[in-house]
Amino acid sequence: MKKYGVLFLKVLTGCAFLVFADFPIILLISSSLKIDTEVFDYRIIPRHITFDAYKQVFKTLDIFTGVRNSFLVAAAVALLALFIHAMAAFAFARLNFPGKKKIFLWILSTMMIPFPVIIIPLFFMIKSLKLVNSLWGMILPMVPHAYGVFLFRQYFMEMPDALYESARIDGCSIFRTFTQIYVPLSKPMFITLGVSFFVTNWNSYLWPTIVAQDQSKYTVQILIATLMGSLRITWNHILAASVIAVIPTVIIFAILQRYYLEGIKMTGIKE
Amino acid sequence: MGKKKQGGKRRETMTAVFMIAPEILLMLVFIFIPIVHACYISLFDWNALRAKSFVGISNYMKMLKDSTFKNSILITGKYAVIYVSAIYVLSLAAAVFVNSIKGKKRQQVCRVGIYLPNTVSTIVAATLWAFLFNSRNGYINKLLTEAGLKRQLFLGSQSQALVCVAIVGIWVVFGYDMIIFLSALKDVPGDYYEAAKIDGANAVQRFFRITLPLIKGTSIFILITTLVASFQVFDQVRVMTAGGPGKATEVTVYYIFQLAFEQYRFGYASTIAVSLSLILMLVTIVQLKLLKFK
Repeated sequence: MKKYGVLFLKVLTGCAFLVFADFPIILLISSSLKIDTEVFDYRIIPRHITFDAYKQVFKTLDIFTGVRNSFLVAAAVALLALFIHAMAAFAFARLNFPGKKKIFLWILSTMMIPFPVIIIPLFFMIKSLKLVNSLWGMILPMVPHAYGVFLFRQYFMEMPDALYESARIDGCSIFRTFTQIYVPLSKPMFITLGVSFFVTNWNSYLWPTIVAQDQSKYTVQILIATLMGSLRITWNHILAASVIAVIPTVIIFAILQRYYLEGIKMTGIKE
Repeated sequence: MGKKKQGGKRRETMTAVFMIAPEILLMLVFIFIPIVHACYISLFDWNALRAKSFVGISNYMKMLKDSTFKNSILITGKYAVIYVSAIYVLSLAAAVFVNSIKGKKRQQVCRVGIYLPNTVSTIVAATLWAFLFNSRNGYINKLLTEAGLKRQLFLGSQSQALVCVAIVGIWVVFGYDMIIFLSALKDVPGDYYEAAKIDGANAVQRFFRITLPLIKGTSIFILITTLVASFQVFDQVRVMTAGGPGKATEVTVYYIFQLAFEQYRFGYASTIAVSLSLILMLVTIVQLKLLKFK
């Protein structure tokens, strides 16, 4: 009897968690498929399924440009960040040079800076580089990232010393040892961090909204936020745009789940 | 031989400098210089209309008398308390629950199901929950009236808006922290539980006497990172309430954003930004001290 009680309680908590997490998502999708007047109708399966909202979003909003901008920004940050972090991390993990420890500590210290604190000077920096209202203005400040260097360094340090030494004895230059041996061997790390950078930047809003000044530079997130700020909110349009904004990250999650979750575990540093 | 080694060393240094240069350069331009610049601007009276003029610490004196600023700190603090405590409890509970499921397949389904909201951006999440919290005919009000309860104003109510805004953040993040807790729970050796069971400890005792102390490091990590994140909340406020109703959800970062990018008062906005980071640093240190000595 007691056993069934425990089981019942477990199923109940499980359902509570899953409903809280997933019911809003289900409702998001179903409501985006409803017609204008039935958006607030509370059946989960719409009475009339229609793609009108999506058609309208593509017609009235420049959602295609938004998606393209988001993609370009997220992909560029991810690629640049991977390349630059891995290279720096390799130097910190394998090479000896004066001031190594001190420089590394300085890099780590940037983790303590809350981003909103520097948005104002950062805006002036972008302005003086003539990058306001450009995608590069959104991309470049997001590239430096202490965590990326830190995690790559950990990864490289766990690879055996012999690997480095034998490559060097065979006459491989330092840089080639990095590109031809370390990079291919760190594929899981590249995917994990790449996914994490891409998704973070696909989803980000505060910095892009400061940099973008006209519609042609809006990302999807800015588009949706702007719709929410308009006087008359057409819910099924906004929800359709939201579904479009969510699809890429969900697809990445579905395909690369293992790397995705691995990346999270890594951030929860183990003692 | 010695000369050759010397040359090799120099070449190693050169290569290292070349390899770290891009990262260092970007950090200088986009992090270090802006930090110094923020402190510098905070000493100036600077807005769109007037030329920049040095005013020393008078911005800081003004800030101490600014009731909007004080209110924003209070709201941020309230938000932090709701957000941090809810995420800690929910993500730990979810992790313990998922960990207790027998059968790998079922466990995975639950883990993915609970994690899923984390793939949604805060902007979309805020939009979605604003839809659910809609005061006229939102889903949650429908459920309330269906259950015979009174409908609520939610985002239009001074007392409920902040909680509604916090729910969005909690909804997006708790699955992420669950994954971190889950990997910590998996590291707790199973024999500990076996031994405790033999000694007659029940599930609750086992949780508080074994699990909790053993995952203390992870707990501290989660508490600190969620606290730091809570001080930076912006997206949800922007989309759901724009700081209102009244100033009920006007958190400090939103106030900074308004001052800088809507009123163009860059000097004063920087003063508040610098102060916010100092307050955050102080709170983090206090939190670390409290957690360590417990």
